[in-house]
Amino acid sequence: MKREVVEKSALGVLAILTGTGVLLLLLILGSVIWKGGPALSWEFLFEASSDFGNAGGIYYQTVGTLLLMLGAALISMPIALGTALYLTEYTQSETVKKVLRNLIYSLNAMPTILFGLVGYLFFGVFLNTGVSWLTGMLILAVMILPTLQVSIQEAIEGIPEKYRETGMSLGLDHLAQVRSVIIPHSWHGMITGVLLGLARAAGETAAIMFTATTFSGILLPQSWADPVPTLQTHILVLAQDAVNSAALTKAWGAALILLFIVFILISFSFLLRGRLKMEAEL
Amino acid sequence: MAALSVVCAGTIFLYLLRESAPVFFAEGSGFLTRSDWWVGESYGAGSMIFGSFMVTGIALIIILPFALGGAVFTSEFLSPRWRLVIKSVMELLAGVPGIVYGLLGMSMLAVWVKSGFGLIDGNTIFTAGLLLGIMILPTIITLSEDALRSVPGEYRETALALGLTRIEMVWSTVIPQAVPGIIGAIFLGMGRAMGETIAVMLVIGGLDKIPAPWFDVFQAGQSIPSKLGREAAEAIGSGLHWNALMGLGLTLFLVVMTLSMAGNMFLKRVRM
Amino acid sequence: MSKIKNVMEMDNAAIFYNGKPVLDKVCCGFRVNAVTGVVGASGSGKTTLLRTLSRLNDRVGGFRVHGQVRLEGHEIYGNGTDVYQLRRRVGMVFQKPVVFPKSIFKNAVFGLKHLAPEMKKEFPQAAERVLREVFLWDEVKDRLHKPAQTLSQGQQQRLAIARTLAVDPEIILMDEPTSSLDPKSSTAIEELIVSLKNRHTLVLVTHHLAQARRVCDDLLFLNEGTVWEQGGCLEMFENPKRKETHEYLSRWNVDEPAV
Repeated sequence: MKREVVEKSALGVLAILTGTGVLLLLLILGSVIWKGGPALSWEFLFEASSDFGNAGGIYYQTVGTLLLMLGAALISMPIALGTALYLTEYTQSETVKKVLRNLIYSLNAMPTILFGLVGYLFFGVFLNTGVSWLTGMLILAVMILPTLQVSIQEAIEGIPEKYRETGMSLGLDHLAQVRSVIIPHSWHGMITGVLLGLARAAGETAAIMFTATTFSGILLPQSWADPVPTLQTHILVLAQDAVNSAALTKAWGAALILLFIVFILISFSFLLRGRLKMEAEL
Repeated sequence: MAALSVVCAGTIFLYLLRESAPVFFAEGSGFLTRSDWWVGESYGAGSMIFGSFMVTGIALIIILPFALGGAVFTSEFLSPRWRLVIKSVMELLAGVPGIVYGLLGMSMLAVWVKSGFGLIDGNTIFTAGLLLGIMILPTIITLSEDALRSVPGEYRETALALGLTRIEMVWSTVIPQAVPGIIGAIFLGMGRAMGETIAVMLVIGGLDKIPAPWFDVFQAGQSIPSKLGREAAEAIGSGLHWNALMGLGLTLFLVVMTLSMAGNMFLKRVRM
Repeated sequence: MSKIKNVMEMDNAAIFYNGKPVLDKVCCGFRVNAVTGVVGASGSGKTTLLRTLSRLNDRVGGFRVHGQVRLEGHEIYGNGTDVYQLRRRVGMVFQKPVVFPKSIFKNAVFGLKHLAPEMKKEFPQAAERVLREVFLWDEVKDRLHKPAQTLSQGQQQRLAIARTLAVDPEIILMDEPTSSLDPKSSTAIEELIVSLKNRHTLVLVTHHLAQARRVCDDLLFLNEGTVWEQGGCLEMFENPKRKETHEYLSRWNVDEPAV
């Protein structure tokens, strides 16, 4: 009898603790929609900001965020794919694999502000790219590298051995094997990795706030060397400096758009993974 | 190509080392132990180091029951469908940008802390810790859940066959085997909390001071990343001030790398 | 035996995994345009021997071959060997049918696409030719562009053989190709094997002794990690030289294998 009571009450407590996580998500989503919703309008989405963000919209900031994250993913993708292929297909040495794996995990755990500081010194100063779109893209590309790489590698490692062996038995060389067996069977990992990497890049502020953007640059960059406006830094500046509630509402509106972008990307990765599971069960 | 990630990690370390060397020559070990940071005069990083450990500790204490309870419940008692729901929720939560957490913390959490504890200002070390706890919840839940699930099913069945209730089974057979993985998850969560910049910067108050008494967490403080976030932009290339900031960066790097390496080692033990 | 031309032979070969010998002192040959059966108890090294012939174990860590393995007189583990060319010439059909999640047509020309990309225009004819060779054409000609997974297991195995035939190997290795198939599909594959030997040399690993007796010309009996006896198929069944061979083979009409 006593054991039953313990069992029941423990389960109840655990359920409540678990429910808190779900509640948190709803709370966050709810707050952002509730506070940012009033800011939303056609003009807010498609107009430039004015009066230091207190008026106008966030058109250029949104485009800037998209430009930065897409650029980062484009740079990161081939490197991640190359690293994953090297680790799974080309190297036999266990030591090399172990060292690289550790490093990729360390890179993943690195505080993003350090990417900002050192990225600025290395790209901005040493390679002379300055405070610019290019610097931001390069820094974010390095930052999201582990996300892409791990996801691609897991997909490649998940390819059933029978497909590789069949390719081998037909006399395919390394390159043909990669083209016809490895990539067709792991593209979902690449897409998932890219989606999650894009989401990470879109949500990042610390690494780009003094390396890629300036608050006054409210227009789109005309070249690689120009700074970009971004939603993240726009929110930061409004949140820190806002004196009136109108500006804060604009910040919430921008946060809502940013959250929307990130959640769309993550949800797409769910869809992709869910569909693949169904296909695998077929 | 693979050499690139080696170069990245190595470059970060070497740059931090090179750029921070002058401040260690100037301040010696006092850089880490003293807490007087007056730009142009002296650089003692004690209050930032204290703040970093303090917010991380608070975050852990607050969130561990939820994270571990959630992980156990999700892994052992939920149907596959609900497990997927929880995992997805955690992935979304992990994806919420730091700046959005910061905005929420600044305009809601800080206000609640202020009225709830009757403070003059809601931007405190406690607020930052609480916010960080929420931010690292997904990391700890997801990784500990993986650790629990990797315990082979036969152990569960054996325990149940002996007449244990499910809670007893989990407590006596599953959790003990998942301990290394759970410790790994906690280490990685700590690493994330230690390195978070934007959200902490907006709610910690930004005061380079160790509270008196030291355990009074309802005062403003400073963590390493929040200091870096506030001052790095204006200090770039400005002599010793910049070197001191890079010294903070190096300290942060070493602490976080130690945590993450230890965490990954624990996690791998589970995977093997 | 020695007067007849062997396409492939192993000369005092030893095969090691992580320093432990799996096969030792292996001397054997495979006659041109014959079906050579490889039989023996589980764990006697049949599959390892087969995979050694097309160097499929190269990616396996700790795998070593000592001695000589020759294809038409040329050492295949030598320095100058083009391993990809070797694997094209020595094809392999696996135990479980492997089809790629692509259309039937694309599966049939999968190897060709890489080995002879310049022949792209002739792929449809090539696909038809190999699918006819495996007696699959009439069953699939109307749905060539449907996913190959929609085929039955037996059809999938024939498609896998067609895919191997398309790259025109001289030797085809088969690792228990019927063990995961129903009796009707097995019979179809057996008929196919017999018809293939006009143009190819076949090596067939099988547990199914009745099958070996039906389709094989020569037989290789592996026991305790070495070749125990080799010779003409019927002769070995009727008149084995060694006691163990007799004990193993004498059960051919009792053990319709369950697995």
